[in-house]
Amino acid sequence: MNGTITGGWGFVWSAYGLTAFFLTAYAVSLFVRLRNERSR
Amino acid sequence: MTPNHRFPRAPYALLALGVILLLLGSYLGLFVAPPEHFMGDVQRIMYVHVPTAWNALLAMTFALVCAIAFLFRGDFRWDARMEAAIEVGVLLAFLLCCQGAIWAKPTWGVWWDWDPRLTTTAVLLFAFIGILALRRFVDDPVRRATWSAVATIIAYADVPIVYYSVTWWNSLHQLQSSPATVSKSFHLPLRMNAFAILFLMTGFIMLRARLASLRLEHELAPPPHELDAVGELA
Amino acid sequence: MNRSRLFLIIAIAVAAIGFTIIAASGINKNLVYYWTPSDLHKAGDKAYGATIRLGGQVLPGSVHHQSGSALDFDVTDKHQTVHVKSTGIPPQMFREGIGVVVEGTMTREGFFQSERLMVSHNNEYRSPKDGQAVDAKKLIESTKGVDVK
Repeated sequence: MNGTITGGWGFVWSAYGLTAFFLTAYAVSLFVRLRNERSR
Repeated sequence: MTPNHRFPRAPYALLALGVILLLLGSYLGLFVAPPEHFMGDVQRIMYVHVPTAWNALLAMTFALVCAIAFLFRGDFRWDARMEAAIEVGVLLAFLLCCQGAIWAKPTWGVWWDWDPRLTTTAVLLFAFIGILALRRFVDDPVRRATWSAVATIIAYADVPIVYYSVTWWNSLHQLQSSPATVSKSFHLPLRMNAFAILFLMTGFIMLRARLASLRLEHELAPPPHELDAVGELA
Repeated sequence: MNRSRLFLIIAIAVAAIGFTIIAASGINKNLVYYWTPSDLHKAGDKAYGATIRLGGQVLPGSVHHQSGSALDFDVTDKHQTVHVKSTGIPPQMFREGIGVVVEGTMTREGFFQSERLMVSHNNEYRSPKDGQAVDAKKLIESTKGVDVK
């Protein structure tokens, strides 16, 4: 144990993956909701 | 009636710009910037976590401006913008907590702890979720807008508390960093992603405000075929 | 219209009052996340038995590894020192001189028994190149993540 973190790419990928997923999902939901409202 | 109708393509351009910048900034952060001295590669989470934090607080701040403008002017375009800013702010605050937990596990050793910074951030998230819920339960547009504007102004008091939480109380979360405490080689990806998420946030808020305005229009003057449906029911 | 401006004033007043109360309690340290070794010494008998968090710096030279993940070390705030026996798995960042927050209880035997060991890093992020320029002594002094006065 020398006080430094080795590895941990799994954490990095989860953080970026989660962010990308939710931003994309929000964009999709926004487009769908807008389209539905416009076609009313 | 619809906000930003003069520039119908502006939000899409902002979203496109945001995506490109986010890909570029994240590429630099993940593959070009050096690992941190002690945290190693895990520190790369900073390039998405810190921009998310800044922009979440910015979205809440814009919601506050909209709330004040609505109560002052009574213009429903401000109500639509406020609803948009709160929803996008909630999305970012939620992502912020998730990213923070993922970063905390390898560095602090725990996913979460009720330290002042984390607690006040969770309060902020749930307060604004509460305002979105409140809007769903109030049918009268004037009351809905007024009450949620009042609630937004009150909930916003938590934003400076979140910011100062690390200096007012002892906490597990470190103090605010500044350019002086962050190596120069980390600055570029951090700034690129900050602007990337700013553009995404602005694009989202503009589109979401359009949706809110359209919904209000349809609420006040339902489209003819829906009136027919109401007539058949009656 | 006038009514909504009245609402505006009331809302701002409520927000300002709430903010002031919390800010004042923060400055008075009425709300406490962790106790420092000095707080623990001052508390006397009140420190025993209750589950509390203790925060401070790992005293350089005090870390002893026991069997498994168990660890012994001293937590200091430069005025007082508390001996800690920890059974929790230490995070990789754990090292001498770093800030820690431990959760557990103070025992009558005079040591702090902890089951949860958290590392509190400071607000500095350095590339390895800068890191080599910073000597270890300076790093130990700069564990601002935990208040060391």
